[in-house]
Amino acid sequence: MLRLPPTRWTRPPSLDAAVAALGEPGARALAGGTDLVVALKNRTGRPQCLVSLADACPAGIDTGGGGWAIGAATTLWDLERWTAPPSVAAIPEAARSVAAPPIRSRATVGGNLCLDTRCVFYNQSAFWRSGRPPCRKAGGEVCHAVPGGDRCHAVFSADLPPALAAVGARVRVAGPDGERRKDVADLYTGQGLAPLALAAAEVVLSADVPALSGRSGSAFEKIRARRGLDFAAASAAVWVEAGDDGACRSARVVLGAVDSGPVRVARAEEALQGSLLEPEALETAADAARRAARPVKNADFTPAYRRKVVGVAVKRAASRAWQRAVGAREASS
Amino acid sequence: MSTPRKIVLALTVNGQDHDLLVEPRRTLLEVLREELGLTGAKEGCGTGGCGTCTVLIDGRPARACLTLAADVQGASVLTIEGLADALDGDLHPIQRAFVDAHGIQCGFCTPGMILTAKALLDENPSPDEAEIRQALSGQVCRCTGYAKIVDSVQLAARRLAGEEETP
Ligand SMILES: Cc1cc2nc3c(=O)[nH]c(=O)nc-3n(C[C@H](O)[C@H](O)[C@H](O)COP(=O)(O)OP(=O)(O)OC[C@H]3O[C@@H](n4cnc5c(N)ncnc54)[C@H](O)[C@@H]3O)c2cc1C
Ligand code: SF4
Ligand code: FES
Ligand code: FES
Repeated sequence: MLRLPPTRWTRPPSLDAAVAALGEPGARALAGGTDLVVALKNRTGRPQCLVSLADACPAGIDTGGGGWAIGAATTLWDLERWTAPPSVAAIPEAARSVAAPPIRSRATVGGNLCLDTRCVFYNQSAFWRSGRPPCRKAGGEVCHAVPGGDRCHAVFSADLPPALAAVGARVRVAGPDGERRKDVADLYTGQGLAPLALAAAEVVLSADVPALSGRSGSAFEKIRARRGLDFAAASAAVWVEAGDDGACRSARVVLGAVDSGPVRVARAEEALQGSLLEPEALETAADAARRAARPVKNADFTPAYRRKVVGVAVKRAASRAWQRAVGAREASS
Repeated sequence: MSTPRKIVLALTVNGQDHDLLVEPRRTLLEVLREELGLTGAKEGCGTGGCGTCTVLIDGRPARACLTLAADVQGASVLTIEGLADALDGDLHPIQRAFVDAHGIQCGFCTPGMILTAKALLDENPSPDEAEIRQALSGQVCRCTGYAKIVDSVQLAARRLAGEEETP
């Protein structure tokens, strides 16, 4: 059996107690464990104490206050069953694309938002990795993906963050200095080595989704080897709003799995704005996405393939989002 | 570092209550197989990618290899051993359907397949093929090619709905 290293474990009864426990040296937050337990088994993470957030973070979707506050402890199993309006349909779509049902039953929104970056040279057993010198992310000084490179290019491949960023969600974060809110996009540094812009002992409490225009739609598209279990080769989330003239009034386009953080592509958004999402506009947006992607040789697919299919993902997501926006506009008029 | 303290774990497995003293690093799979002698759930990969360790935790399928036992305090766990009739040993209709529709070859994936299928049919008694494939998308089988497994779940659904007799 693949076993975890000896570790302490605690389940603080409240948020304050959890933040205090996470302030201890060697402490690490544990939610569903569907990524962290693998890391422990692979010995890529070696915390001295696991701090279960089960009683510290809210679970479920709170509809008070106009939009929706999705608690960090909400499971992806519950989130994929959310009958969301067209404007935020990308969120359950992204939840449904993560791993497989028996993983989504325990995987949480908080764990997905705080997922570590990944690399074929890093997410391996200790035995596998022992065949090469440790890379930067494993505490060494080399990179096996980009030899001679000066930084880590591990991939950010969590599926919810692009969808949440595309619909303009914010995250509520709590730590030793109290609570703060920031845009989902600002939760990420874009650095493979330390992808999260969180201070020590900070925890994500919820993803707060605003109520959006009834004439808007969103979608998430993920390209991968199999329709279950696999991380994205590339993904895209798109939100579009239809204007009075029937053309696209505003758009947000966010890519996943083609860099060390989610990538917002302003040029793709400009290509969609003012268009009817006709093939030429979609192609221009796809082209902008391909240019913005920065894949390197550290995933199951070649960088050229990932760059190519991120454009496909943008086109599919944009078309579906637009159908939803137009459908919603017709339903309301 | 001080030695991690063991924790007292109260768990209901296949309807039986257990109080166990376990190290917090133990997974549910280790507890089932090594403490309780229930070897129906298998370790294929140990890292979430194959599904052979899948059991039902409070009715939902979950990877026992990724679940810390400490995190399922008070939960009710169903393993393949708990599915057949406890009194007369008769197979559960889903098990029977996997036998009759040839959904089993080497059998290594079967406990996870059957339990995942049970969770699906409990929530959605008449799933279409796409829904079955989606529900089983995390369960890897190296033998059957999946067609017979989908047939088995469809047969089980018809029998559970009373549309077809069990011979
Ligand atoms: C076979 C397999 C396939 C997978 N496929 C996908 C996939 O396709 N897409 C995808 O996105 N993921 C995938 N995953 C990864 C993982 O299952 C999900 O990302 C899941 O949502 C992680 O959530 P969790 O609750 O299990 O996190 P955990 O494993 O408990 O934690 C993950 C990280 O987040 C931190 N953390 C957790 N909660 C918080 C919080 N509230 N505040 C601050 N930090 C926190 C932890 O310290 C840890 O570093 C896969 C995993 C496996 C095993
Ligand atoms: S990109 Fe390089 S440094 Fe980063 S995890 Fe991969 S091999 Fe290691
Ligand atoms: S052993 Fe748990 S998924 Fe493979
Ligand atoms: S029957 Fe052999 S792995 Fe499925």
